[in-house]
Amino acid sequence: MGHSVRIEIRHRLSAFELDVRLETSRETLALVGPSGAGKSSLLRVVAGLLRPNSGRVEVCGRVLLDTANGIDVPANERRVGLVFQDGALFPHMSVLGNVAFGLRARGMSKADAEASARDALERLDAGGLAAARPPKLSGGERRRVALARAVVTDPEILLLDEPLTSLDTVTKGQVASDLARRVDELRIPCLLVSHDFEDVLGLATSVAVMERGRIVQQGVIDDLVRAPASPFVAAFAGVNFFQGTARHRGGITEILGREPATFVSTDVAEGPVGVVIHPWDVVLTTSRPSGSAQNLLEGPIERVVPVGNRARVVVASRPAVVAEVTRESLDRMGLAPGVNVVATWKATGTRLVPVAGS
Amino acid sequence: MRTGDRLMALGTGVATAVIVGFIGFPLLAIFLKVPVGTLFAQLHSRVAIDALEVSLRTSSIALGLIVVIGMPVAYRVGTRPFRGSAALTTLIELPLVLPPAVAGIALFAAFGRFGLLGGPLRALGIEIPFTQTAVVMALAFVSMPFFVRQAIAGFASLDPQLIGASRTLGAGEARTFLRVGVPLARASLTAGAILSFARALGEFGATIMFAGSLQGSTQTLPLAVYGQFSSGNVDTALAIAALLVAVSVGLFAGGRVLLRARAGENGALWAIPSGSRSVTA
Repeated sequence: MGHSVRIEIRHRLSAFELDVRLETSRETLALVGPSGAGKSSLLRVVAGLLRPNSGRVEVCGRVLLDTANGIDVPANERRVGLVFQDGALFPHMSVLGNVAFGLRARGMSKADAEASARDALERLDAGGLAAARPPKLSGGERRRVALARAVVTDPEILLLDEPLTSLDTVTKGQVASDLARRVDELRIPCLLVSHDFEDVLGLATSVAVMERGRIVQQGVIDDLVRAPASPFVAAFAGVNFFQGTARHRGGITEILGREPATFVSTDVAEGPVGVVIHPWDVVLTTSRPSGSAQNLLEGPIERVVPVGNRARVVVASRPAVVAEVTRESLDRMGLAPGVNVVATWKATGTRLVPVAGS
Repeated sequence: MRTGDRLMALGTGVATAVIVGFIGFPLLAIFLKVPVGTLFAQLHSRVAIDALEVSLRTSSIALGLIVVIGMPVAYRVGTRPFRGSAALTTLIELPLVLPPAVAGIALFAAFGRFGLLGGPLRALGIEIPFTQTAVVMALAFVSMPFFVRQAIAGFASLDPQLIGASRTLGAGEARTFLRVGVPLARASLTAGAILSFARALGEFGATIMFAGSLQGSTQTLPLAVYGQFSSGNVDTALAIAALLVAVSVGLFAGGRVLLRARAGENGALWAIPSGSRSVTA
C-alpha cells in the first residue's frame, strides 16, 4: 500500500478526451501507444505541470491532486522525478550545475549540493561530464545526466518520457541497462512512456496500451501477446518476447534462451538480450518442414483467440510462442486446441532488443 | 530579360546609395559643419555637461525601474498568458504609437499641479511637474514598451520543458524566474534594455511638456540641442548632437558585441525572436 500509485484523469485535449484510470505498485509500468495518444499529458498531470479538468493523483499514500476536494500540490512540492524526452537540461549551466539545481532549490548549500551531484553522476558513470555544457553532450549522455538530475532529489515516483527514443541501438542498450539498474536501486514506482513497444520490453514489468486518451489494455507483456484485447493492441503491442544470452559468430547471432531453446538472428548482439518475434512472422505447419528453417518450436495448440479477421494461435511449446494466422488458413489447416504444430520463422524475424543486464 | 535584370540591379544600387546618403550625409554633417576643435570646446560648456549629467541619470533610473517592474510582468505574459494579457500587452505597447506630446500632456493631466492627482500629491508635499522625477516618469512612459516587448518575446520563446524541469526539480516560481527564465532570455532582455535606453536618451516631446527644460535639473541632451539651437548657439547644439550620435552608435555597437559574446557561450547564434525588433537591422 505504501508504494502504490493511483491515477484518475479526465481532461479535454484538442482531438479527444484523456480518460485514464491507472493503478500500480512498486514496479515499472510502461505506457505505450502511438504519438499523440495522450501519454505525455498524463505524465504532465502527475508532475503537476498540467491541471486536468478533473482528476485525482495519489502517490505512496500522498494525495498530489484531487480536483473534487480542491487539492493541487504545486509541481515543486510534489517530489516527482520527471525525465523529459531530450533531457531538458538547462543550457546555461554546466552538467554539475544542472544536477545540483534541485538540491540548491531545496536549500542545500552549494558545496553539499555539488558533492551530492558529483556522486549521482558517478553512479551513472557520468562523473567525467561534470564540467561539460549540455549542448555539447551526445543523446545518450544527455539522458544519463537528466536521470541523475531527476533522482538526486530523492523523488517518490519517477516519470520517464520516451527514455530510449532516437538513440542508436548500441547507446539504447547502455541507457536501458543503466536506467533499469538505477530504477531498481531506487525502489520507487516508475511510469515510463514510449511510442515504441519494443523499447520498453526490457524495462517494464507491466504495460498499459493507450489509444486516443484511453487505456485499452493493461497487463504483463505475456497477456498482451496471448490475448490482445483488440486488433489495435495486437498490432501495436502483441509480440513474442523471450530473454536469453547472445553470442555472435560467423555472421549470425545465436541466442540461448532461458528455457532450453536456441534461436538464431541476423541482428548483431553480445550478452543478455531480449528476443522479439512478431506473431505474423511465425509460420505454423502441421509437420516438420523439409527446408532448413532456422528457428523452430514444436508443441500442441493451447488456445485460439480471434483478433479481427485473423487469429492468434498460442502454441504450448517450450517456450510458448504465439503465431498470427488468417481465419482462412485456420480453417484450411484445421488448427484447433490440442493439435500438434510446428512453429518456424526466419533468422531475420528474430529481433534483438536491449534488456537490463541483471 | 538580361536587360531587365541589369536595370533591376542598377535601380537597387541607386536606391541603396540614396538611402545611405540620405541618412549618412546629415549625420556626417553634424561632425563636418564646424571644425572638430570647436565641437570639443563646446562639449566643455556648462550647458552640455549639465545636460549629459541629467540625461545619463534620468535615463539610467528610468531603465532600472522599467527592468525591475517590466520583467516579472513580461515573464508572466510570455510564459503563462492569462485572460486579459493581450489587452495588457496592447496597453503597454500603446506609447509606441502615441505622439510623445500626447504622452506629456497625459502625464500632466494625471500628475500635474492641476491634474487629477495633483491635489492629493500636493497634500503629501509631493510636487512632480518640472522636476527630475517628472523627467524620469516621461522617459519611463515612452521607453517602457521597447523593453517589455522584447522581454515578452524572449520569455515566450523559452522552451516550456525547461520551465517544467525547474519546477519538478523543486524550484518555486521565483527561483525558476531568476535562475532559468532570466538567464535564458538574457539576449532579448539585453536587446530590449539597449533599445529602451536609447529611446529614453532621445526623448524630447513628453519631457518638455511634463518636465520643462531647466538647465541642470530637467534639461536632457535633446532638450539642450533644441534650447541652444533656438537661442542661436548652433555650434553648441551641434556639439551636443554629435555627442548623442556617438553615444547611440556606441550603444548599438556595444550591445552587438555583448550579445555575440554571450550567445557564443551556449553555442547559439544571436537571434532575436521573431515578431520583435532587431537592433542590428
